[in-house]
Amino acid sequence: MVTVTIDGNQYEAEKGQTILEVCRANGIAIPTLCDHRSLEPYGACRLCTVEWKGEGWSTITTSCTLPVRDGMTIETGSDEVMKSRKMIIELLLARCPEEAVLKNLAEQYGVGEVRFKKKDDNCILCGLCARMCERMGSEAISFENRGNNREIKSPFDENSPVCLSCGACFHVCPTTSIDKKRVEGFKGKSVQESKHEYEFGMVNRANVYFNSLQDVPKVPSIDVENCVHLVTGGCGLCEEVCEVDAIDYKQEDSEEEINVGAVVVATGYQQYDLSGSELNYDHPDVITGLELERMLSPSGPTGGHVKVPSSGKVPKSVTFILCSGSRDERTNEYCSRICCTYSLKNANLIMQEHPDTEVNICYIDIRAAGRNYEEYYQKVRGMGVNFIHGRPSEVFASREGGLEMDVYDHNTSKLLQLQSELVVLAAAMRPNQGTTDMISRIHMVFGPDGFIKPMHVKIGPVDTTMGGVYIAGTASGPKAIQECITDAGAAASRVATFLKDPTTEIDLNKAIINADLCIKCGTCSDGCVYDAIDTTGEFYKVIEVACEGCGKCAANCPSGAIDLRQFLDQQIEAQIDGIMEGEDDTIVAIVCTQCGYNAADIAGTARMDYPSNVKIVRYPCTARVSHQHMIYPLLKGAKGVMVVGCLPDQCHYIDGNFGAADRADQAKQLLDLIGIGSVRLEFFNMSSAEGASFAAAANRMVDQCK
Amino acid sequence: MNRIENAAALEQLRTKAQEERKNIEVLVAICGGTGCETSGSTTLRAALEAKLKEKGLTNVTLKRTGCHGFCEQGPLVHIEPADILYTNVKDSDVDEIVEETLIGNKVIDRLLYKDPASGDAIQGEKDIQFYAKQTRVILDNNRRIDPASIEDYIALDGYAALAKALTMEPSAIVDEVSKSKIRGRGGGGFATGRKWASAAKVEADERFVICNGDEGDPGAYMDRSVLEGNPHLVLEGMILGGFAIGATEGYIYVRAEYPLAVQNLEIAIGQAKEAGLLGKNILGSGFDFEIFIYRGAGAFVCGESSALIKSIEGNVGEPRAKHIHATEAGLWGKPTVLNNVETWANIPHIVGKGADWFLGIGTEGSKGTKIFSLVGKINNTGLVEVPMGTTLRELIFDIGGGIPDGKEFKAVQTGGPSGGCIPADKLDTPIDFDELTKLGSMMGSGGMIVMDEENCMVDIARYYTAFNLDESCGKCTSCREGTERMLDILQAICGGEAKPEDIDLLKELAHVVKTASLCGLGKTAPNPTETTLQYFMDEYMEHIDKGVCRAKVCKALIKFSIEDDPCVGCGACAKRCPVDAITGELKKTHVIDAEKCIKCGACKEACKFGAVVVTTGGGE
Repeated sequence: MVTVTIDGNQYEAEKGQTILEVCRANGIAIPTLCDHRSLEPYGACRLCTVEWKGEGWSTITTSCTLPVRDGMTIETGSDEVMKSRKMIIELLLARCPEEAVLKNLAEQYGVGEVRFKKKDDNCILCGLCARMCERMGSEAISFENRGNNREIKSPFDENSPVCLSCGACFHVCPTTSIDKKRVEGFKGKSVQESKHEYEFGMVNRANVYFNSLQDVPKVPSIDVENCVHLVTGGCGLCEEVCEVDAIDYKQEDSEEEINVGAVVVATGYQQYDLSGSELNYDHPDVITGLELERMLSPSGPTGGHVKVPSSGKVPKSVTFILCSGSRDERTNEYCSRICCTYSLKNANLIMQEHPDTEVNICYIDIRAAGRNYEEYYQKVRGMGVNFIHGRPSEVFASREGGLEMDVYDHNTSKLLQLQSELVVLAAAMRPNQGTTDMISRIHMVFGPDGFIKPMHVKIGPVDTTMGGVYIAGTASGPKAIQECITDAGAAASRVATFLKDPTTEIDLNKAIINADLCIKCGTCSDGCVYDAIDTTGEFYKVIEVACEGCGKCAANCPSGAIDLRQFLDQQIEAQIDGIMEGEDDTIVAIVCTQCGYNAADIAGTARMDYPSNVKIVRYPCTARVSHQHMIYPLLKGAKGVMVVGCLPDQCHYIDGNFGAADRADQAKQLLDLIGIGSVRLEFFNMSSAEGASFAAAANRMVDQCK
Repeated sequence: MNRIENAAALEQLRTKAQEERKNIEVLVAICGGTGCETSGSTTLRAALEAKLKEKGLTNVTLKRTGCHGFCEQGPLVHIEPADILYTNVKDSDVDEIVEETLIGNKVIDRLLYKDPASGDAIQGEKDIQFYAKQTRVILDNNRRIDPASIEDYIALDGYAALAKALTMEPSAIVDEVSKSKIRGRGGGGFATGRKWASAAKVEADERFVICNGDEGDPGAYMDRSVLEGNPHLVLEGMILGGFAIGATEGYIYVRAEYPLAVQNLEIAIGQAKEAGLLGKNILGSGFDFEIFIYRGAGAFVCGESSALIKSIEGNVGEPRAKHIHATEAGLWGKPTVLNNVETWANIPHIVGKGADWFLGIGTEGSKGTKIFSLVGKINNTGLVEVPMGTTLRELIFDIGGGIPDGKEFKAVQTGGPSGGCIPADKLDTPIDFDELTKLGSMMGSGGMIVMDEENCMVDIARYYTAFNLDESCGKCTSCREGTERMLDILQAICGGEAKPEDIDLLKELAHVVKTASLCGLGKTAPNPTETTLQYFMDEYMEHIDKGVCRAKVCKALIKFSIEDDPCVGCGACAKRCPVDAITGELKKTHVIDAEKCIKCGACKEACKFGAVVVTTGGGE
């Protein structure tokens, strides 16, 4: 620490600080034009001069370049300093008479009428732009010529190939010398403006930014494509100003493996992309419901007020188009469920703030199911919102400005021509990319709508086919917020239940591998949808907690090395042998425990007729049924074999029934070859409720195997 | 040349070289400085060589040397041991010189220097006032040395100081230089020893020395003559500096406009390397040192040390604030000692002869000699080297031979384009750093421009302000904008358009430019204006109040006319007039159309009858 005397007061300062820094730290005003905290002191504008006094000497020098020394005495406002400062201001003002920054300085320092002939420049040659450009690692502009011919130019005054249009130059320019146009002129392209993605591009953001105010954790991120440091190696300002050294440019996206006990897939949804559609979403004044949500949010880009994007004005008319991309066989057949209600809510908000604004809602049906929703709908109807029962065929830009659309109103049977300044599309909900990724990663099943299919829509809405994996929110389909919250609670409770004990009990019916027979071909692990085969060690091993016990691997193993505990080949054959004892017209029905068995059960409890010589053998899944299992009963004298699995896309082990169906086809060919005949084997798909189907199938088998 | 392994070998070589030179019967030294070469010394040398061959004069050795300094009288031919100096020698004089002097041992009076006062022919240098009054420490050997011969330099005790120094502690050399009180010859006059000592004490893995040969002052060529004429002297100085401060590399920043200096330096560096006086393990001492040449691209401001360093680094030559000295963080951020050519040339003398010898020359505050390039309205234009403390009068009138054509001395400008103009009543001022500064001028690098009654002091201020503005790098506001506005005012005064209050504004402006500017260029740029305002205010006021330019220089204030009486109507003036402003019938008085006249003065030159007169201030 050193002590300096400034204007008669003593101040402590760090070694290496400049007098300007010390003055600023202590609230002593010193004007500057060429100083910038991110750039090396330059000492060009000469405005920050101070008087440095010693014994018998004094000198005028720039405080920005003057390092502190112990015991030095500085005057920041002595006559000499003021004389020089005023003259510098006068000289610069004579050069650039129209610049506000200089006019203000002139007023502040009492510089009267300029005594020199005025020029009409606007650049004070402080060099901030060129120095900042250098700092950005570009050096696209620099000083050219010398003396009073000095000016800022790009090399050869041509568009610089290294200019990034980052705009740093005009951000630091204290005058109007560098405006956007001039920079765009340099580069021949517009200055880089990164649209804020969270705000749907309605505002711009910096290259280091927060996605939204509600980010958790609230950590800014760097736009790696546009970050000047990552492009040129220059800049580095964020790292420099960050007091906690949190900036790490070397950080890269990485995949990390984490061990968890359970997974909740809550990957959300995304808006259906209506670009290129007849609804003219590419027009700036056609926006989606979510964009309007951002506008109406107090922390949003317009501070909570609806604005027409192209003009920035309050719209005189707004039209909501519901079912934009929903309930439409060309796009998404399903109902997105939330749009009616949120559009009603937004219409209400707009009407409240701007009662004179005309609000139209074009709908197919208003689906305001939910507690108090119907009442809300009725309230909005009563506010003077125009409800038009029909979807516009096309939205187009009107010649007079604004937007225009034809819509047939089914209520009045009239074709209406609507004019509107703002059109809000209630875009359909689509599974998020993250949801789609998740499905491929953890072997969940997705429905025809692309959302994750729950284990059971009624009894297992947050469960999946995989133990320990749960879903919540719109990952499993369009939902309103309150349902998502309900899901979250349910998923949490499922997880808690699943994880409550330090140990997990698992069934015994798991695959087992006989290492002596295993040829390590990989067929088992390739087919296993649960990734339950560990192929990394010396011998293949079954990961028993992962194994769901479908038996697919056992059925597919070419060397017969895999078996399924409780459903060992030996046990099954013994069972068949038992059934066949003393019988000669038996039809063996191999049924999966989930569907085939339940169907047979229902057939029985419903007292449906089916022949008594049909004998049930229960399997966990048809996946376990090998060729051998299909043929063995016939070799032992059975009349026929029927294999019953779930409906094609409803296998409780995801795809076990598909493999079984394939094997049945192959086995039938084999039966023809060996003279037994393919009619003696059939594969059936049915759901657990289809007792009648089971009875019919049993009858059919008895018939065709006579 | 074989590598010189150690000091003893160097001494052997020296003895041998000295013996060889003792055996020369007659030595004819032809000045090969740029001045004499321009006046024809190259062809003269060829002609003399051919003639000597033709005559078979094997006892005569011909030598092309560096600048002898007496450039006004070039080409110069000096014959030893008879000490005959022939001046203004032409190719046609060669036969006579060979026949009469070299064979016939007779002196050709016609070719001797004539004393301007008495008209007497003077044979030897020692009797010529120009030389006799000088103390030529640096320049003296210029006429004895062929710049392309390292043996010549070694024979004259060259590299003896280096051999001596290599046996000393580096700090002892710094002490010796400090003790000599030598101050930088580049202009600032900073104590060289202090500079060295501070660079030596900074902890660093690398240090540099730089020789500033970016001599940009108009009319100044001291450094050029030293670099061209005695390059090894500068190299030896730099090697000594390098050894003293612990540097391993040196840079010579020399103007690209000095091709001969570059060429001779390149030869000298090559020779020194071959001889083991540069490079690895110099004279077996274990000290390694390299010197590189860096050619400047013509920016005056690059003579400023921080701009020069930036230029070597490959950046635009722009000065920076020097609160952190180059001795702490200079070239590539390493401790660097930057000295002027003349300073480096003094170092071998100081180390060789000792600080006490150096202290014996000069004044209390300024020790040693200083070279000046004496130009302008002066009889003996040339390079002069005098002890510090010599008065301006001695320099201008004794050595310089006074003002030509009996005109009256008006002022002398010292220190280059940003020096001040010193009037006649200050002629007895002794020349040293502090005295010149007191007068509002400066030592600078040694330019000395003499002005007579035909120089307008306002115009002089205008000229140098324009020069400084043109050469300003433009970085700092006060220098760039300030000098420009000063020039505006000075131009207005010269143009007769100024008001008395403009003088106050000019003074105010000059003061700010001087105090607030970043580097030496800006800080000194107002000197010509301030000194002329101080010493020649009456001329300024005449311009403003009466529209009079007494020197008849400022075109707006003068008028050309033809007087009736002397004009014979020959029409010579009309023929020369480039704008056809002169009309008149033959044998009748001609008339100048003032509207058309561009005041170029061609008519005045053309008229043999003195009929064209220039008037000023409305006086017809």
